[in-house]
Amino acid sequence: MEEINLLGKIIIRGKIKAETGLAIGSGGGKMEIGGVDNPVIKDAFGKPYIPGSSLKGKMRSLLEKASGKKPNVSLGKARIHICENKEEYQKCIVCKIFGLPGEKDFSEPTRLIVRDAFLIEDSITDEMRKNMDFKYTEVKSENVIDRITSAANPRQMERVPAGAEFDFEMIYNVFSEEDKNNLKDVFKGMELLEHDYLGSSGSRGYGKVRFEGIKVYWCSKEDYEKGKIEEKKEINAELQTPNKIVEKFEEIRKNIS
Amino acid sequence: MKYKVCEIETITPFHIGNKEGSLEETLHYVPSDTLFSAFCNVYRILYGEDELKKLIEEFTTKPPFLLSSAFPAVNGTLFFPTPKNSKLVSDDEILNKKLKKIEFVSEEIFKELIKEGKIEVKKEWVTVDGKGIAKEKIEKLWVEKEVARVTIDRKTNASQLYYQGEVIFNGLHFLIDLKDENYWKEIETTIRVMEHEGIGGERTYGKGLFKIKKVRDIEFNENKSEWFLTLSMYCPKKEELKGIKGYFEYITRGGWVYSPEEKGLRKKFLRMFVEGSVFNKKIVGGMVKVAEGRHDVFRYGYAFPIGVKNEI
Ligand SMILES: [Zn+2]
Repeated sequence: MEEINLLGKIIIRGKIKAETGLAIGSGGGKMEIGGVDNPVIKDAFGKPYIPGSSLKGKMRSLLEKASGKKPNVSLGKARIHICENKEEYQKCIVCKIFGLPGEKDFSEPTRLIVRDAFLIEDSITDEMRKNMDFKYTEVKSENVIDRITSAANPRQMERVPAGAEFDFEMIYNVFSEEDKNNLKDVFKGMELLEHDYLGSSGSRGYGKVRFEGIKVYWCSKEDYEKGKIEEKKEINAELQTPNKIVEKFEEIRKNIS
Repeated sequence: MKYKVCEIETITPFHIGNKEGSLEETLHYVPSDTLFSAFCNVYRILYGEDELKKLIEEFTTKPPFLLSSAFPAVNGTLFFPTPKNSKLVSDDEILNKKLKKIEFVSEEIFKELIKEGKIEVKKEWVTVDGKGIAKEKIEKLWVEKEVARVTIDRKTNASQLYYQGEVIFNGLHFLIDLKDENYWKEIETTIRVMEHEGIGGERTYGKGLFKIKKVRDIEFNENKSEWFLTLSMYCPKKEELKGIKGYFEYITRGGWVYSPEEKGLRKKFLRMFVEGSVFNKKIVGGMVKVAEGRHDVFRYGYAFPIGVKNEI
């Protein structure tokens, strides 16, 4: 393997806003008597959150499609693309950013780490609460018609209401000049996600999200050596949405030195 | 002896795996071997594979520094493992029962214990959660929670719910015994990068993140006797075991290798003495090879010895 040395880390923080109800399930199935059929995943304090793995997985698959990569490996429900050899990998932004399974002998450290995004409690207003069933979520009843028997099958969907906001954080490791340029694709992935959906029932309008108030920080190896990470200023100025960042990426790129 | 102590504020919950296959369980501190391997992972991406190899080689012969485990800290009060030879006593029957469960003692009490071996405990010293004692009022040393996570079965595509233990600290601290001053810059830089990398399990979901509060010197009035307590998990070399006596407990460490080249390789099980164990001789320990794959994998097993009063 070629020598991999850290040049620095890019820290991306901001808010994810649910523009429509968000149904990121905890796996379906009845959890308890009197509970809903499709409960939302929650953290240790009972607050809904967006698992980093869901965010990352969705961004990956959207970027794969956008760059014409053919899925060749099954990973759970999804089929994803994984480079098969080193030559292919060297040119593949998707695998560089999102990583490879450990067994590959040309594997390198994954560039992008996506943390779980936690609910901003204040984003659930009293106004919103009036129409909600639980402290942080609402429950929708739906009739699903079985196409073969025509029997109606009532079920309940729990979702985080539109307007809810989550704090997100992504960390992007920079090992080469090329990685600095590839950072643009991380924001492309976020932009693609805004045009798609997160969680389930996207076809029925659930899961529309928007990234807001993005802050991008560059922590170079030198900053870490000098212990000056705290004084770091953001490098994206007024470019605070994925769309604007992608459009004017050069302005950010020049600040990564 | 003077050591450096690194006080950290924890930002997110931690998951410190203990028993293999049991995701629910987490330790309530960060053992030295976990801390060392987190250190090495970052050292490697900072300085490269060759430099890491060099560092490990130094550790297999003459360690340039020693690490303790990372123990709880609450609002600036540092906690240390209860020395296994110490006597926490009181006249109160109910309190006496509680004292058996004390896992950690505050710095002040720890210093008295290594000097005197014995302390009379007052009722109000016991922390709210009953895990530790301190002379100042302390709420809880940590809070433990179980969190639901989803995994997708690769064969059936069914999503499955599982529960994972996480522990929320107020803070943590660990000691560094710097034997080779030349390493300090690299150590400091590595720990700073670790802030954004995390310690322990489930780091990619954001577990184990922290911020360095301060690094300062700490000194213990170490007893000049021939008895020593370890502030790290300790794996003795065979020859050290001859004639060894003490007060101790041990733990079996296992788990899987995690490195860019190796995932899914099992580490050899290793029995180690836990922090707070006390022995009748200067303890050393060493690195133990626990896997051979594309590269050798070592577990950190150096003792972090502190001289204590002989109570036998
Ligand atoms: Zn690829």
